[in-house]
Amino acid sequence: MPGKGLSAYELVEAIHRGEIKGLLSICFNPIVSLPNNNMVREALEKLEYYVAIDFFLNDTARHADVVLAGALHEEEEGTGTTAEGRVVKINPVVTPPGDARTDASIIIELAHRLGAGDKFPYKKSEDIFNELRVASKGGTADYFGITYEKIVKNYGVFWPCPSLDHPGTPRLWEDRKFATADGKAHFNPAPYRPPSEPTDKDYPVVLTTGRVVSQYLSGTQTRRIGRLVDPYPEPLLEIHPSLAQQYGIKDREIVKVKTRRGEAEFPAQVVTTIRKDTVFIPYHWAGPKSANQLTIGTLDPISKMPEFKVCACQLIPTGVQAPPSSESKAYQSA
Amino acid sequence: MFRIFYSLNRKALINATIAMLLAIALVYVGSRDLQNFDAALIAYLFGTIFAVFGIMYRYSVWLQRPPTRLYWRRTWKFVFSKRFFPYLGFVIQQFVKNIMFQRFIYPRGRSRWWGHFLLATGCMLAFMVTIPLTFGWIHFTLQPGTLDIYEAHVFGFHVAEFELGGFIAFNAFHILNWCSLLVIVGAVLMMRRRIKNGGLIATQTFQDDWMPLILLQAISVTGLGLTFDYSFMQGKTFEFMSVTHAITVILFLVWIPFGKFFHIFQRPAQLGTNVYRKEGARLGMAVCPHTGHEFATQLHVNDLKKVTKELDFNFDLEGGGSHLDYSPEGKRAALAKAQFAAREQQGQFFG
Amino acid sequence: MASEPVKNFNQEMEFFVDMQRCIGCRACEAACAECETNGEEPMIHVNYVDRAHSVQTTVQVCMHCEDPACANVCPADAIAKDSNGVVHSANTSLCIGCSNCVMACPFGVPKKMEAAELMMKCNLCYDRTSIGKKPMCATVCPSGALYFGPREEIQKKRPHSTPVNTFKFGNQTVNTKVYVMMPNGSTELRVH
Ligand code: HEM
Ligand code: SF4
Ligand code: SF4
Repeated sequence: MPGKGLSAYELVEAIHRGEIKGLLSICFNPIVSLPNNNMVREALEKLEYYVAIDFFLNDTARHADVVLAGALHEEEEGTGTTAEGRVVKINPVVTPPGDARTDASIIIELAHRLGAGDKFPYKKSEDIFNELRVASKGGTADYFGITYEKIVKNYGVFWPCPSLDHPGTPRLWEDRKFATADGKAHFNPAPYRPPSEPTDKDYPVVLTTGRVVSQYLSGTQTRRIGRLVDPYPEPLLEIHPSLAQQYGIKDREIVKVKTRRGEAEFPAQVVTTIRKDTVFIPYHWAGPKSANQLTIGTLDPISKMPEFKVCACQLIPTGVQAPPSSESKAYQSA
Repeated sequence: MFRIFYSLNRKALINATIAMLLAIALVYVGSRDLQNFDAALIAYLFGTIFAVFGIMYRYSVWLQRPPTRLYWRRTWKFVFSKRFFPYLGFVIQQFVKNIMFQRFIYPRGRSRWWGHFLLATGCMLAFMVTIPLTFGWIHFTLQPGTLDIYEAHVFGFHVAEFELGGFIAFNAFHILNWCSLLVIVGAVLMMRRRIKNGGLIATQTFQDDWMPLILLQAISVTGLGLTFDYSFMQGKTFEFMSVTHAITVILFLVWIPFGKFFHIFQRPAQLGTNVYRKEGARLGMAVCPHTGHEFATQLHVNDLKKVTKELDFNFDLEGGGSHLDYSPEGKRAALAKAQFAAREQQGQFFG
Repeated sequence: MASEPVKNFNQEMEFFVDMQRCIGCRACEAACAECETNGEEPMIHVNYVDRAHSVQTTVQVCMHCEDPACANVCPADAIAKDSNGVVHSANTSLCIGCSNCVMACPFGVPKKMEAAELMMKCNLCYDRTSIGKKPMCATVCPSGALYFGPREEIQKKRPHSTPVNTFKFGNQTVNTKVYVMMPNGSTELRVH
């Protein structure tokens, strides 16, 4: 197994510092999904060479030197592991359109062209899975006993499955032997750490970001589907009536939201379902509608998860009523 | 359920009888006391006269239903008011777009529109030729003293003449064949939908949905067959073709008032509803008390309150107002709130 | 009047809706758009009840009324109820797109497709229910807001609830084929 590398955000920071000069990414859209994306954009512009593989041209791929058309999971064979630890088989039901190809075949061909073909000798998807079986042997998530044949026959196999005759483990720790040094389950109390950017008199309001039901991640797929765009075509600023009144903000009035990292305008949605000191913006959109222009890049020291959920902002009402939500905005990029 | 009058309806019977007598009178007058009437078409004439009776009967029954009556009255009152004039252009445009070209079917599906447009156009063109012919309003004679000049007479008056074998003659004598071709292609497109579309397969019936298409095919094929027969087969199948053609056409005519084809006479109501909406919007929109948005014309909401009462529905609320003042979204929210409140009162949302 | 297709409609299977369980995920909407009778247009409604004050969402299918207001107010005789109690979507050749039904339905169900000048509504997935299958929406609802099955089954699952199919809208009582889950002991749901 390769050793531990950098987490996504650390990687972008390393690019920004000039330590990393080339990047090959698969289905990666950091310009929408990572915090403080003005810094992310600077980093991408510093890259000497950037190759992006994705099934649709995402907002980040616009910064790439080469874009390779990859495949959706409906177009590729392989396995997936569900949240309950069940390894399931994924079969292609359609072939990639045009010159698009499966991600695996792109990587393998790149390896061959770069002279590392001997390290990628895979003929079919099962060969890659078999390597994972060997690599995970003896680990906590032991895949060694899981084969394509077994997965298909049993409609999925749960890890750990250490040997070929092992049935898999639908429920973990039933033997009460935990994968810790003393074999006991450990609770890890997390000490409270205040947010890295507390509110102050210049930036008095808490900004939190998140999702809406009809969109998925950075919207590379879901911002292209009319029926998913319709219910929530553009990001709105959720704000409590008491906070709104303080600023004289009316429903659907355009509000400029400013943080130490950037600013953007959103129509207000006045609702009592949010805290009085906090505003909320969903993050799925790109360009001028992107909430991650505002967020902060501080990482949790252990999980390396960025502080998407809290930073300090200013609200500046513009006095302009937003026009009816326009669906075309959803497709708009940087 | 549908408060339709299944038993004989006096008013409709009177209207239908008048219409029928009128049609017969028109045959007499139009054919100059039957001297221009083509006796070979007598069966067709009876079919048509019956269709006139049936269509008028059903139309009259139809107009007695409260919602239809309301639209009917509103339309005519409006047409004869001075506010109608600015809408004249709109009505003409709607007629061309929605009746002649059935443009609104296009968004339902491309081949759906093509199919219908072809069969409707073929059919309507054919009506325009065959009805005057059957009624003896049009007839053709050879110009005295010539062998190749035809004269066309309308209501007994000489209106045109053309040379036999010329372009006009060719099309005049073959127009019904062109119509048949349009109908055949159109009906095939419609049949294809009925074979392939799972939703249609689940909801269609032979009588209501397949019979009309089969009938149209039969009429058109036998109609074409007549020409084919005397052009290429020296009349060997003429008897068969002419008998089946007559039977299918008469079936079609007699069946108009009962089945799907009645929509041909119902569709013009669509023009009325579009004018009604436009005029209603001019008078003012209704705002939903729940959503705070406009959702329909106030005229429509008020009329519906009246119509529902006539139909024995009463959506009046105790504190004044009506459930019908709410938009569809407002109505759904009202129900959800009431159900939530009941659950909350019980203290048990689940289980 | 209209004849109707011969089918194996399973009258043991009934529809039970508990809209307060709806979490607004719109899975039913996506499933509804797969129903062959409405050709890629979802007919089910999911919407916020009052977004300014709550995140509550509600889901609404056609309730298939015993005496459907929609059919009564239709000037074109385009809406028909069949002997299984299913109230069908507008007959495509008759509907003149007047929207009477859209506005008279006490449950806010029919949809007017403006460009097509045609009303469309939920017909209980007739392509499926007419051969004994469940409607699309009820097969995907993750929260149990939409449930289609035998009455004993829902009674066992929800011992504190009673299915109710009588609704009061002001002075009007409406009885329906589809049930709404209410607290035990309820006999009706008064909306206003
Ligand atoms: C003589 C003329 C006409 C004939 C023979 C005719 C015949 C038919 C037939 C057979 C169908 C059923 C097709 C199917 O679903 O299998 C149909 C549907 C329909 N007709 Fe006509 N029609 C005529 C004129 C009109 C006119 C003038 C209009 C409109 C203004 C009209 C509007 C419609 C509509 C809206 C449908 C439903 C189409 C759909 O949604 O698929 N028809 N017609
Ligand atoms: S719920 Fe509405 S659409 Fe459904 S049958 Fe009743 S009145 Fe008609
Ligand atoms: S919209 Fe169509 S189905 Fe609805 S009432 Fe009007 S004509 Fe009838």
